[in-house]
Amino acid sequence: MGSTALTAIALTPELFENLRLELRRGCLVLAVLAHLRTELYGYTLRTALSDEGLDIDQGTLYPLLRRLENQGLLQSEWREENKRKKRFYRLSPAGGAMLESLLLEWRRMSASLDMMLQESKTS
Amino acid sequence: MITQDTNDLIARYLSAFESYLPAAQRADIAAELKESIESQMEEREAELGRTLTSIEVGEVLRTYGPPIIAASRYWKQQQLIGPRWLPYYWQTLRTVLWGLLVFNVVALFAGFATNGNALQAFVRVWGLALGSLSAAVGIVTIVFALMERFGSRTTPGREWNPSTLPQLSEGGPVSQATSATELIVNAVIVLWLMNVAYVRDLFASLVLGPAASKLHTLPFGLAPVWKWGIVALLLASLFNAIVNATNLVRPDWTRLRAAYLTAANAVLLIVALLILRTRPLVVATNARMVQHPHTLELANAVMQWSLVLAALVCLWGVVCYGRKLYRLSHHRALRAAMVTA
Repeated sequence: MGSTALTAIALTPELFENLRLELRRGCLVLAVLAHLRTELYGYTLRTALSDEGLDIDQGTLYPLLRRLENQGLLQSEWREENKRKKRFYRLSPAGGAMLESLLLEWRRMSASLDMMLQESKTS
Repeated sequence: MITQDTNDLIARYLSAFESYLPAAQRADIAAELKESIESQMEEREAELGRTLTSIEVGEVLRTYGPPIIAASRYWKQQQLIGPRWLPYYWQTLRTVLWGLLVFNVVALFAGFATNGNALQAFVRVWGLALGSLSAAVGIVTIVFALMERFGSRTTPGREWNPSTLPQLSEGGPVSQATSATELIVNAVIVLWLMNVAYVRDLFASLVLGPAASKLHTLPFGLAPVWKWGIVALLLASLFNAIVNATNLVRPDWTRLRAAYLTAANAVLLIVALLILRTRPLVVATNARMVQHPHTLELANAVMQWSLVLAALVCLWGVVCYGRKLYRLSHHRALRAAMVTA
């Protein structure tokens, strides 16, 4: 197979979408944990993420919140607001510690990547 | 504001959604989803300044996906066969299926050889093949699924030792001693089969010793059908001698040798199975022998089982040399890729 054909395969939108989703998956957990340092309910959390450029659909967000809660990283409670019962989430103490560790790792990776990209630009 | 129509649509969606959820968390998850749908509808209504139509509510529900898909995101993440076992699963399945395929092909030829009716043999083996292949896939999958579910959580192969990797020496050149010896043996076999008098006598003396002189007076001989076996053996030995001679000059042409031996074993296997179809294999050559039918029967039985044994040896040859050919081709591709890299 020639290099032109390989380039054509590599540039398919499906492949880009798959790689983009892979890249996003870990970032979403970090973003959700970071946002829940203040208490929010599912819908407002989603709106907040979207306003900051990180769209996430409901079908992904709610199961993610539940999984993080089962892992002990979030706490939740049902409360009435504007005459409707809503489930509010916030970071648990274990979640806070986990967020700090993940942020440290994130910054380390980001710095490495920045350095690599800088090097490839200058070479 | 939620009208009766839209309320009905949301209730139907939630009811279907709930039915796919684990019982313990059903009510809680459904309540949260209901709240999310209502929040989304409220926002949309605020944008439009009116209540949503049932079509617009349908659009909101569509963003959650079909109930079973939406609910499946809450299921426990359990794979039938996860990434730890998947490579071993595929390898086992491939080996078992290839083994069964070879077994079924042999069964087909054996059925054809003993029955003589190709269609009947094919129909019988086709049923056997479908059943055995399906059962093999099912059993292997169940075993690996059980290992995934209940097996140890440690990653298999952690104790793996690189020194156990197969040697690349299979790709090494054919030794000249091997090529020369095989060339002599094959040349003698060719001359013997071509009925060159001196060679035949010498060969008989080497194999049978003093009993060789009695060979011409034996009261029985091979049935006429053997002429095909003799022709096949003659051609196989002749081509083998050519391959040996080529390997003497080009010892690195290992794939030629493996390819030839795979093909020759396959042809001889087919010829052996075809000869097995016919009876008798041994016939009386003088009148005295006709009076001893049991001896003739015994000679036929011995010949028949010798031929079965020969067919099995050929089958083993097809598998071994076929595997070697595959490995050599694979190593060659691997080396080419390493050189390119």
